[in-house]
This record gives sequence, C-alpha cells and structure tokens, in this order.
Amino acid sequence: MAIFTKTASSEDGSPRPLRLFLASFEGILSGFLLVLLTALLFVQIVNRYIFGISFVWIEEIARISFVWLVYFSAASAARGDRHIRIEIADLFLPPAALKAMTLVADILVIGFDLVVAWLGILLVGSTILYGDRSPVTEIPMGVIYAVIPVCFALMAFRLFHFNLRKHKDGAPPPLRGLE
Amino acid sequence: MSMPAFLFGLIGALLLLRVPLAFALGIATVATMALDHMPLTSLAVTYFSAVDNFAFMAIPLFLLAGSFMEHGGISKRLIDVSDVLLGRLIGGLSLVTVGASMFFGALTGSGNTATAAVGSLMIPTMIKRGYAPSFAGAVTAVGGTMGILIPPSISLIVYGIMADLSVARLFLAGVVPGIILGAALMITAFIISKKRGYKGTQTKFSTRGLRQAMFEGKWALLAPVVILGGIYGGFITPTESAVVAVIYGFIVGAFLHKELTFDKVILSIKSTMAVTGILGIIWATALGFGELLTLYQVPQLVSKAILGVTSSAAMALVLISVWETFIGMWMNTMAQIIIMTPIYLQIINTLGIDPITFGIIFTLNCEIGFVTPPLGTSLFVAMPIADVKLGEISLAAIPFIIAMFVVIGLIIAFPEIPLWLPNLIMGRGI
Repeated sequence: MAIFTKTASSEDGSPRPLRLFLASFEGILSGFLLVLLTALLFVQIVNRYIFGISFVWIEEIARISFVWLVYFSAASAARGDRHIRIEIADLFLPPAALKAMTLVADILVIGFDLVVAWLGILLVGSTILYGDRSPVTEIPMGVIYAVIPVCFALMAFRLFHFNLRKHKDGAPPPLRGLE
Repeated sequence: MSMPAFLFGLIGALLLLRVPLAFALGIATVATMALDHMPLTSLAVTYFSAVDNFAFMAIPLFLLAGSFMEHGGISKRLIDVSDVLLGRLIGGLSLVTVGASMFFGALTGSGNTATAAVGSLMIPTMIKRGYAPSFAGAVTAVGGTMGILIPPSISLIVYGIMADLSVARLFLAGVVPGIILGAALMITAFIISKKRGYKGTQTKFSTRGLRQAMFEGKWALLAPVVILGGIYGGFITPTESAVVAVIYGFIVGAFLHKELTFDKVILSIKSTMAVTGILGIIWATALGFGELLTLYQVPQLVSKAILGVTSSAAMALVLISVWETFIGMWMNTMAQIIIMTPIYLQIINTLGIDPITFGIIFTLNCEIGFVTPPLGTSLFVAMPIADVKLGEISLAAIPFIIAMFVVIGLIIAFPEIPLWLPNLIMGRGI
C-alpha cells in the first residue's frame, strides 16, 4: 500500500520526475493532444484557403486525437474526482451518511469502468483479429480503439487511488467553463 | 415494471446516491441492457464513435479561445468601452457589467467563462462604489449566462448536433434574443439601482472618449468579426472558426496586449482539458442512454402524454419551460440538452414549432438553470468574488430571472423573433 499513500516527492522533498509523470501522465498527454489538434486544424485551414489544397489524413488524425483527448482528460478528471455529481443529498443528510453513500457510488463507478474496459478489450481483440485499419492513414483500428479499455481502466484505478488518499488532499479548485 | 420506468428510476436512485452524472447514465444503460438480455458488446464502439464528431471539436476550441481572451486583457478593454457608453447613467456600473457581458458573450461560448471574465473586474469595483455585494454578484452571474445565447455558444453547438440543424443558423438566431435579453437585464438593473440610489460613474460621454476606448479595445472589438465573420462569409465551418478564435485570442493576448503569460496559457490548456473530459464522457454515456430511450420509444410516450394535456404550441412551450426551470435547478446544462432534446423534438415537430426558435427558448431556459440553486454554476463563480452566501445571491438574482421569463414569454408569443436575422443573412430554407 505504500506506493499509494506516499506523495510524489523523494526524501529531500523535491518531486521525482518519473513518479510525477506517472501521477499525471494522462494530463500531460491530453495537453499535448489539445495543442496538436489545434495545430492540425489550423494547418488544414491555411492549406485550404491560401494554397487551395487539403489533406484527408489531417482530418483523420485530428479526429483520432480528439477522441483520445476526451478520454485521457476524463481519466485525468477522475484523478481529482472532478466529475459532476448532483448534490441534492448534501442538503439534508449528515456528513457521515454522505461519506458512506459516496463510497458505494464510487464502487459502482469502478465496477462500470471495469465492465466498459473489458468490453473495450473484446473490441480491440476482434478488430485486430479482422485486421481493420483506418481508411486514410491505415492505422490498425485496434490501436485507435485501445483508448477505450486503457482510459476506462485508468479511470477505475484513479478513482480507487483517489479514495485511498482523499483524506490527505483538499478539494480541487472549482472549474469554470462547464456551462 | 416496464423497462423505461426501471431505467428512469435507476438513474434517479444513482444520482441521489451521488454517482457522477456521466457514470450514472452509463450504469443505468448497462444494467437495463443486461436485464433486457441485450448484448453489451456494441457499447464500447458507441462510446468511441459518440465522441468521434467533427462538430463537437468546436467545443474545447471555443473554451480555449474564451480562456485565452479572459486572461489576455480583453475583458478590461470591453469594460472600458461599455463604461463610456453606459457608465454615467443611474446604476451605471451594473449596466456596464451587462454590456460587457454581452460583448464577452460574443467571444466565448460558455456562460461561466463570461461571468468569471467580467465578474473578476466588475464585482470588486461595484462593491467599492457602494453597491450591495449580493446585487453585484447576481448581476454578473445573470449577465454571464448570455455567453451561451450570444454566438458562439457551446450549448447551441450541442443542440445543433442533437437536432441535426445548421449550427451557423442557430448562432445567428441567438443574436436578436441576446440583445433583447441584454436590454431586459439592463432595465431590471436600472430600476433596482434607482430604488436603492446607486449613482452613475464620473465618466462623461464624449465622442473622443468613445473613440479612444474603442481604439484601445480594437482587438477585442474585432474578435467577433474574425470569429463569426468567416462562418457567415461561407468560408469556414464553426469548428474551423473555433480554431481561428484560438489563434486570434493567443496572438492578441500574448503579443498585442502582452498579458497572456506562459503560466496563463498552461492554466487555460489545463482547464479546457478538464472541461473537455468531463463534458465528453457525459456526451458519450448520454448518447448511449439516448439510444436505449429511442429503442423503448420514450420520446413518443412523453410526447403523447404532453399532447394529451394540450394541443396548443404556446401552451406546450410554457409547460416545457416550467419543467426546464425545475430540472435546471439540479442538472448540468449539457446533460439536459443531450438527454431532453430527442424528447422535446418529438413534441415540437408534432406541434409544428420551428426547431431553431425552440433551440433559443431551450437555451434561455438553460440560462435560468445557471442562476437557480442548488446547482447554479454561474452563482458559484460569482459567489466567492462577491463574498456572499448562496441564499443571498439567489434572492438578489430573482428580479433578473423574472426578466428572463419575460423574454421567454416574448419569444413564445412571437416565434419569428429568432428567425429574422438568419433568414435575412442566410436566406430561408432549412
């Protein structure tokens, strides 16, 4: 259990690069994908309206990056328990009851994540078996679809991890732009 | 018990248990499919292809653009222009807030971003000038909601995808109702200020002053032209215009205003990512859930029930608005749009209501949801800045909510209002 309860810092208090990376790599990856997506679409616009050419592969890569961006960001959000809960019960139930309910809720969410991860593994397996590839760039569909099992498994792990260490960290800062 | 009843009962129970919305939708879908002996294997593909949508990409890009503009010194300059125009009137600062929110609404597609951008500057200023903190908070929270009505708008993009409508046409449809709502909110703020004796600012109106403020704010004022002009010129799609907005916001903030620092760029990317993940997964599981609803013919059932009560278009819209006000208190806007749109479309198609007009009424209803507790996200953004409690700010928001209902009533009575501008610019047709 030690790896779950220690914070991402070494004895002298400075963060260890590898551990820091493992603790938040999906965030770094989605940041990279967001920048890549913007750059690809911008290149596409410039090509089309200035040079009069457009590349189909750019659109395909952009779409794949976008789906990956969504799921890796969703996993990253699970890490800070930032997914939107509807907090009606908070108005009238005591904190102890809320704590117990949240635990049950999180177990259900982890169960759901694992079911979808398993369905994703089946999907990846079957597309690799049939040798499906994306139409333009010919990337194996199994690789592209792998984002589903990987991210749902990651969400289950991050939420599990969050439950172990949540007494240590405070609440994450509030998010704007959700609506 | 019938399957649809089980599905909704389970969703309600899961939400009460505090299961996050996206996962409550997913768990209910999986449980119902398993109980009804449907194969689950297609679900993984559904969750992938739900997000694989070119139009949907515009949402994170408009969010990123809005965040760049929030941190890039654009709101300050819009407030200055607004101050020259409105500041000297009674309740001047509150009118300036509404005016700047309208401007900012034309730059961002999110209500909360607009509230944050304008509120962080205007709420402290208003409080310093003797405005009640609850009033200052409420006027910014309500003003910010125009971010989703005045184009661009992430809510209208989602509605457009769900209802298979032209997003460009929906954007244009939001302009006139947005101006009417802005005027209604200003009148409300004016009346309250007059009663409480809030004076105007010392800013005198002069063409020279206006010219100077407009020159200072030229990059901010030009932004809507750059962002929206391309769409209506027919050059680019809304998704591409979102990319242009990101690049424009970045260049203006980082190089022309020199206020968008590296740290703020990273902050903007981080918050955009988090919102994209949270909204994206709600979108995916809600679509999976929606497929089940369609399978069980829930939209038809609800539609039949409503049509059993009334066969008048106006009455049906009033009923929907009342229902929306109720669920807006509890539910996030995006989830409302994804889950309810197929059901509402069934009703409005039967009654012959224009889906574009309905989209605007729906958006106005969602705006009310931003400022009604317990889940009133715009209030949550304004509260810490004004340092007031949820109860105080909610009470102060009531007169403005009444003004919003008046605007909804006006559009129900005259459904052509939103359609006038799109028909003028893009011609009639679908």
